[in-house]
Amino acid sequence: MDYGTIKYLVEYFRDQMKKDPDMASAVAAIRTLLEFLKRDKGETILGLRESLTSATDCLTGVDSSVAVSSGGELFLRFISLTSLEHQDLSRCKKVMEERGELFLEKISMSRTKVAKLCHTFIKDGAKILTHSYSRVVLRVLEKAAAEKKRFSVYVTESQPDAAGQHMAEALRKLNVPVTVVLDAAVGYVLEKVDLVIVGAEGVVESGGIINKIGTYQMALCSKAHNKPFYVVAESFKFVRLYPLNQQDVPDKFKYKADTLKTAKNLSEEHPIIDYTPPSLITLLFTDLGVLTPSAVSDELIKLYL
Amino acid sequence: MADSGVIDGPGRKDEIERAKSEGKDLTKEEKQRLRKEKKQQKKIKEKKDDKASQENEKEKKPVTSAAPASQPPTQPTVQKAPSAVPATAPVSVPASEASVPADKPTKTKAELKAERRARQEAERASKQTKKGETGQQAATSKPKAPPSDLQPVVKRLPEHIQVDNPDVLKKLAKKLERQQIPLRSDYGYKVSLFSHLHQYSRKAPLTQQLSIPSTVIHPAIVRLGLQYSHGIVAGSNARSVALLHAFKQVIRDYTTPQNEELSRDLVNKLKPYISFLNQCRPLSASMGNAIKYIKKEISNIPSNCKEDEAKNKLLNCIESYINEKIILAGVAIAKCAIEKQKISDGDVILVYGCSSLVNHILCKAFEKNRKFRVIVVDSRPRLEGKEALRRLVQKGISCTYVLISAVSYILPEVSKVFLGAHALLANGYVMSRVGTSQIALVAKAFNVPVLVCCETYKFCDRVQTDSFVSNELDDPDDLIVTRKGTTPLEGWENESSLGLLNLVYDVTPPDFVDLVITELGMIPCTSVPVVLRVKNVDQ
Repeated sequence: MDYGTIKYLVEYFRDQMKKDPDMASAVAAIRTLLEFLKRDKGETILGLRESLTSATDCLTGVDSSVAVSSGGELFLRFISLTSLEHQDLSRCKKVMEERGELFLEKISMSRTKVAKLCHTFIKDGAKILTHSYSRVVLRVLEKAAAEKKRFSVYVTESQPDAAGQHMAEALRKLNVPVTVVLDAAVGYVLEKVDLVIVGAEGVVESGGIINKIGTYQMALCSKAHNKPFYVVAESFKFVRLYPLNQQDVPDKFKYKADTLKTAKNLSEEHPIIDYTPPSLITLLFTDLGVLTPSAVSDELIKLYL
Repeated sequence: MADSGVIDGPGRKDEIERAKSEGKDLTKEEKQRLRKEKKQQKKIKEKKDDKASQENEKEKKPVTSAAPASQPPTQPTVQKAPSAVPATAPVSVPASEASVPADKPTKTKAELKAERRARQEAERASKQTKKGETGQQAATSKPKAPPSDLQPVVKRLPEHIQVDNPDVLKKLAKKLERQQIPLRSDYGYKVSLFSHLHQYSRKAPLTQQLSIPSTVIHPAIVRLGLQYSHGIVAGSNARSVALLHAFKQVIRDYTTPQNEELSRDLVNKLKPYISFLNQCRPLSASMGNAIKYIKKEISNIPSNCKEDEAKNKLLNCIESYINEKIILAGVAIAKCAIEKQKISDGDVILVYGCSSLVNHILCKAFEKNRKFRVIVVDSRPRLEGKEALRRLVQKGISCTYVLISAVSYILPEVSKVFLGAHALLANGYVMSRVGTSQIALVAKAFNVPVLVCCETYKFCDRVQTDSFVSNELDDPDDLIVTRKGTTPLEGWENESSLGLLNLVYDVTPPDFVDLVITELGMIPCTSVPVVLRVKNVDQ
């Protein structure tokens, strides 16, 4: 792929993220890929797939989150399901574009679906603990507030980028009583809390999740306190990884894209994500429904095979 | 009067059965009818020969005890009784016909009446066993309850062995007699928890009672049976492959007899072979699946197919099954394990016993220049780990060898545990060599990930939560000899309170297993029923 196209892609991606800060990075990536598909002048289906894969790779170079790579892979799979039916390449491409638009439409509704499923689990007077800044969790809490439920929220600060403060501000705008706690105070605050809701950057095949660093600790503490640990995630975050422990998560997801490029010794850098095994998760709320961790594999098999 | 009672008897009998099972009280009318029928049957009984009537009773008992009397719907009972009855009918009909010709005006009517009588007796006996079942029988004979009763599609699952139930044994003996296969007798005192399983001695092979040349059993099968019973061919994959090769030989030597169709006759020919192999050593789940596949292929042969063509087709099917499900699956699993970084540099991998698949994966990973070392755990009396050790060291992999009692000592060094499986059950439990669940448990306690490698043809529909219900007992004399060659347990049969237990398999719960690698990919242990469902849809 030539440098011009890469630059164009990256700029388009950044634009999309700036235009709508509420949009998930995966959705922006898929929009970019769709745009790329429209402009692609390839002659063969195989060439098209290859260039789409390399486009996904270069987008991962900009934003190394798990969701971007999983979203890209799912997009590819979704559009290529019908690619072999038509003889004419341009007609094929048209079908692909239509399917791409359809896919995009479906996933932009996914957050609303998740919010609809999850808000019923928040009872009146509940105290919720959440981690860092997650737009899906925000949407869920918005819906619960709109349903006139009274609840209060504890948010962890979530260093090193203090994303928790961002979340607290957004919640204050909804008139929800919110307290920001230190990352180290999770064990301290858990006895006051009724339930824990976190988002996810990626949902892996075992039913576990990959999320901002600190999530694993929170899951362990809530298991020890017997508090339910809920995860909210859209279905495009399902990824074909199967980590056995923290070390097994590939390095390309653990660190920010800039760190990967510039750092000389990765062992001195701090990972920004961690892996939470399925045994610590009570339920997952997705647009495919409310799932137990063992059902995630079932859904993945349906999505990918 | 008697005639009319008998003619609509079976119909009313069904109703009465149903009513009884549903717990409703019999109406006065029904009670009267029952009494009448009992009187009739008593009359018939007195006229029959003593021996014949005894035989009848004995044959009825296994038929009815086989029926799950504890289930509410009795339709299966009624269905099974008449289906089993034709088998016993040939014995009872001539007896009844011989002794009761005077009662019936014509022969054909007599046959009909005999059949109906047999059916009534079966139902009466089943009612009696139902009454008795709630009493004492529940202790000794576990009701073989196929869960298929409650599903719309009746899917027969393999029933559990019940060696301590004399009726089941008699039924088995009759079946083997019919197929002209000698019955292998149990050996030695069995520990009471496992008294429902067979325990054979290697010193008394089944073939001692066979004539040479055996006309019923193909020599390749006889050889295979001996290899199984003496442990020359051991290991799930090896046994399945040997079985399929033996069946290929059988098919090559087979000729369709006159007026018979290959698709039906060949399946019937295979049945005694399978019983024979089962007597030599109980069939494994993988062998069971292979046999199911072959039977399906044989019965799918169209009737207009010429014999040579059909045989070639079958041979090709078997070849492709071995190739796809066993050999290529192993290659795919190794590729998956290596590419997805499940074996990384610096790993310390623990393996147990000798699993052909795990050895294959480790050898392939070593070829791909991964730097790891292996700890081989072994256990008495089979000491299969020595074979695994030999194979790995030959390749140049650095290995350590310990016995299973040292597992908790070396586990802090271990980074991953790779286990093979004999079968994966439908509820996610892993059935493997005895000792596997112990290793999985200790690994879980040390937070070490446990990976099970298993091809999909070993997935079976059975459900088991403990290692007692269905297992295999090996020759207890294996435990007598210690490593130094001393035999302190030599006279164990003379000690009345001493029992030797040589278990072969055990069952590991899915909570202890982190990952199952199959040729379809990496799945969590709880997704095994999903794979089974997808496979069934494919077929």
